[in-house]
Amino acid sequence: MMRAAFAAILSLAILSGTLLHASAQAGTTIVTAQVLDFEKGYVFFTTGDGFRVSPAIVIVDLKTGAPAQPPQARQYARVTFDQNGIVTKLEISKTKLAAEGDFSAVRRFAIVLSTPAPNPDLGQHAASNSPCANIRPGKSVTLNITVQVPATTPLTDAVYMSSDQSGWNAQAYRMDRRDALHYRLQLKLMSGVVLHVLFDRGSMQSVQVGQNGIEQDPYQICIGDEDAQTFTKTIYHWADQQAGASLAVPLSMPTPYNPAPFPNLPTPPPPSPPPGNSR
Amino acid sequence: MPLRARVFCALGCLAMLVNATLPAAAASQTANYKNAHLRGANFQGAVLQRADFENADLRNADFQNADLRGADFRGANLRSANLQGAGLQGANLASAALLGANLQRCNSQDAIFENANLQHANLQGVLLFHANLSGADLRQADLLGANLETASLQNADLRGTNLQGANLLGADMHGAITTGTAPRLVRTSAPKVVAAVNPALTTASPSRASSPAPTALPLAAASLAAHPRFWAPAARSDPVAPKLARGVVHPIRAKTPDWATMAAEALFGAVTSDSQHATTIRLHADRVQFFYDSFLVEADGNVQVRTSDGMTLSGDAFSMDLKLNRFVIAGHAHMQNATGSQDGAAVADFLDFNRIYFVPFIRDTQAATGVPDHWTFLDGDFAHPAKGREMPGDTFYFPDLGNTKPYILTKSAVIESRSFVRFGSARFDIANGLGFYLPLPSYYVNFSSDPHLGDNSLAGANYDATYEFAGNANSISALHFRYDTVNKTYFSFEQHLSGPKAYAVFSVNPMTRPSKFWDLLLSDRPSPYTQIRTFSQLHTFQFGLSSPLESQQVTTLQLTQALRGTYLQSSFQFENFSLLPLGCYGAPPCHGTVPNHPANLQVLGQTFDQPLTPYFHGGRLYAHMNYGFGYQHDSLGLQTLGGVNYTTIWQHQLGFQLYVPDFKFGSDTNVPTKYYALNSSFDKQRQWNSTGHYIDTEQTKVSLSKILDAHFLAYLEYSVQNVGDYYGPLQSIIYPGFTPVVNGVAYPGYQAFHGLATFRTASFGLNYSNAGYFTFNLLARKHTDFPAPIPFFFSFAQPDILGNFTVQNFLGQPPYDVTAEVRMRINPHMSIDIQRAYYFNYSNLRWSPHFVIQVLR
Repeated sequence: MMRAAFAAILSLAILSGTLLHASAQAGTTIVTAQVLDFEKGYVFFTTGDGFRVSPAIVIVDLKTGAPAQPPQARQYARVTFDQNGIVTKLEISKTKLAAEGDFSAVRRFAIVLSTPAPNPDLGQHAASNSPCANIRPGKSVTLNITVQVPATTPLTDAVYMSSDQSGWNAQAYRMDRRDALHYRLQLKLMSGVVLHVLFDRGSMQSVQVGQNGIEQDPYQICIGDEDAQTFTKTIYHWADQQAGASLAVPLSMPTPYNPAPFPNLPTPPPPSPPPGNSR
Repeated sequence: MPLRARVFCALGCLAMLVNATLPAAAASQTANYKNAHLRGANFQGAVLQRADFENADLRNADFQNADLRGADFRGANLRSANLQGAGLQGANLASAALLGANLQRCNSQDAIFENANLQHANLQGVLLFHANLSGADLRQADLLGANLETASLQNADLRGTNLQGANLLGADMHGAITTGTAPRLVRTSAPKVVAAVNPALTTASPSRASSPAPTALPLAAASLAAHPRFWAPAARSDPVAPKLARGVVHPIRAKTPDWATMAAEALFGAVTSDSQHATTIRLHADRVQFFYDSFLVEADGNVQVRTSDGMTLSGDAFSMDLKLNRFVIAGHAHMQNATGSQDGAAVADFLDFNRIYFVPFIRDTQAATGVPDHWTFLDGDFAHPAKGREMPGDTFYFPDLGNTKPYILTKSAVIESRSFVRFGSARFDIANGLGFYLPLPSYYVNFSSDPHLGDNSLAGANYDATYEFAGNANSISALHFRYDTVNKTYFSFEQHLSGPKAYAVFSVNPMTRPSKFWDLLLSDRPSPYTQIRTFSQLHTFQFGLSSPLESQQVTTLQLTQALRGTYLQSSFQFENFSLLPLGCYGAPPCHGTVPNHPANLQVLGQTFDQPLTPYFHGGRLYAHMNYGFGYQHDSLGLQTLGGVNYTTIWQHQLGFQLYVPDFKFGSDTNVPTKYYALNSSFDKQRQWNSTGHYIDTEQTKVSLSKILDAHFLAYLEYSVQNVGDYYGPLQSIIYPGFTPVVNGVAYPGYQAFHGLATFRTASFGLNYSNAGYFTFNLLARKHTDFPAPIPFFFSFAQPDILGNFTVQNFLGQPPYDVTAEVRMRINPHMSIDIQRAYYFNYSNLRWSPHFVIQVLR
């Protein structure tokens, strides 16, 4: 009888313990986030939200489970909130963590002194200042660039693209010939990137100029968030080929004036002496 | 050449110049119909280029096939007007009413339809290439088969629009509202069409938080009295607190210009580029890293930041995206300026938008340590923060750098927004991503959009590693480590100076070889239509800076003047083939001198490309002409003819060019893989010389190309070039036919050559490209020339270091050649290009003398 009573009490204790633990578990929320700051009894995440920290907070290393120093900015954390929105546990990682939990569910616990107010800037200032304002950044986008070159471009000449991404190096991106009048280039870039580009034939002496012969401002390309993007332009003249005039090329002196249009015209042999003068 | 003939030449050139400018003058007298009432008017086929129809009433007017290029229709009422087949290139139809108008098959390339009302308009087959349709109302419009390639449709209303068969390749449809017939988009370039019911949502930045807007707090109610610590003195003493606008209170740059800025200002006058409004950020930390691929500056440990607008910030971590032009400091952040200081968790400065987002700790009676808040400082006004204002969702994000190795490691940096970053005593990764660091006293990186700071006066090289050791927003000093097949390894120096209108580049290349080229490039644009450029080059052969054994110089002065529909360019060049007294210098074989010092002047003009036909299969015929005269002089003689040594030769020339780009045919001309593109050009030029001969050059090129899939494309090309040098009765004296005998073999065919050559080239090209990671090019050519190539008789053309032939019309090209080129990306910011040609054993020449290897950045 005693044994049965003991078993019943034990079962009840286990059951109640389990129920209690379950109810405690049900009151906690776990999310992953990137840490912005940990000080003065608060932990802040890169969303800008600050949460109260329990005085008995447990800070451990996520991989080893060993106690860890308070987290620092840039680090990632697996964060445990109790039912009151107090942070009770931080599991720290230096590498990015997979998304876990719904952070928006705990934002209501964030401490902010002022009453939230709408931001009229959102969707306005970006749109008016940046060509990439409405782009979802960070996506890999294939950019197909095609330029129509002047018909005077020699068949074997290389055409390059220079940009502010490469410090305006005139030979940064080599283009491929597509036909008699077109060159193309394919690049993988991240969406949101704004490029300024010009096209040239290997040096800034041979950079493209406008139809009016004056050097032109760089083109601006905003990499959108499509899978692929095209950019097509016409080059009217090269700076070193304008209207038949040419600037001297660095690292070589101009060749002397040649009245013949053939640079390697063979010299005829001297006329043979008459047969009588052969001796 | 007799004086009369010379005068005739000069008059002829003058007449051509006047002729070129006359149409412009005539065209400037454009028709003016501003505010006119022209309901139902008939302008069929009329030439109304650049006519002014601003705000005119043109309801039901008929403009069928009219030439309306560049016309101004801003605000005009074109309801139900007929514009079928009209030429509207470059016309401005902003805010015009085009309800129910017929624009079928009209050419609206580059036209502006901004905010125009095109409801129910018939736009079938219309060419809207690169047109601006931002904000236009295209509801129920019919764009069947229209070409909207690269057009801007931002925020346009496309509900109910028929876009079947429309070509939207590269069109910008961000923010466009479309619930109508879905366009048939080209697979490889389908722009993302944003379907939206509420236009306001289309303008919201998706990267930012889009949570429902909470109840607005009137900013007037925000009181600083509750938070006396933060800028309290200013707030208390004056209800209208002083605004600390950027660049006004502490213009650090203006106070401490360095020598390069002063030099630039001395050369170019006041430097008034955007950089003057830029913010300078001085950063110190235990560890500062720069990631070149992503233009990120990251710093950790005791971060100290001072900005040119008087702010001092500190914290544990710093991150700045140089391209987005914003930075964040987090962890025990402290912010201070002349009027006060405040602690917080993090601060983010969006420099482009003049917004500072701050998470401060506010001292509260209930919490000794402070309570977090969200503040936004607007336009540099630190006295009146907008409290509780919602912040963009990514305001405080730190980038995930993973295992990426930084390009530069240092402890301090000076960043000028949108311009440059300069690192002090840095270590940079010489192995491009592998993490082998070399210490350097400083390192400068320019990322501005000013190309003139990259304008170089160096010739091409197979490899160039540039170390920019000093610089600011207007200057760069750079040392180049280079390799080419001629000079091998060497160093070069380059100095750039740039202002808004002018720039200068000076270089010494190769600096560590005896054969040195000292170059100076100057450019000035006194107006948007005028440009003056000079290029001076001094060549010396000298060891170190010892007395030179050779010295030559060339200077070119070039003036370009843009006119309406044409431009003129004059260039004057003079050379001294030796600056040393005549003689022979150095140990035998000594360096000789050349006494010639020729000069030449060219005045040339070229008209703009003019379309001669309407569009047909996506292509049309364009033409332009060029004209000019020249003068050559060398006191020692330029040409000897009939026993006379000519020291001066006058020239004049006339030429024209016709070309048809991208004539498309195939099963579907909207899908690049389903059509062939035909490109052709014809170029003819005649140059008359005062020595009694003229030179005709004529070139015809036709190519057929096809994009096979996303990676492969192929083309066939055939070109014919005729070059003739005509001396009239003296032809056989100047170009005597003879039979060359080479290695005992006679080539009688050359006997027929009397100064008239024909170069025919058939080419086949194949290109494979995998998004820039791997590229393969194959070019196979067959030359059928007259005079025919004779092995070991003609000298070969010498390509430059990069394999390019800079001189044309070489006789005796190898009959066959195949060139293969492979380009591989070896890390995120470096590619290697390897190229070689094969000549099929012509003149014992199989392979080109060496591989052309080029490292590209």
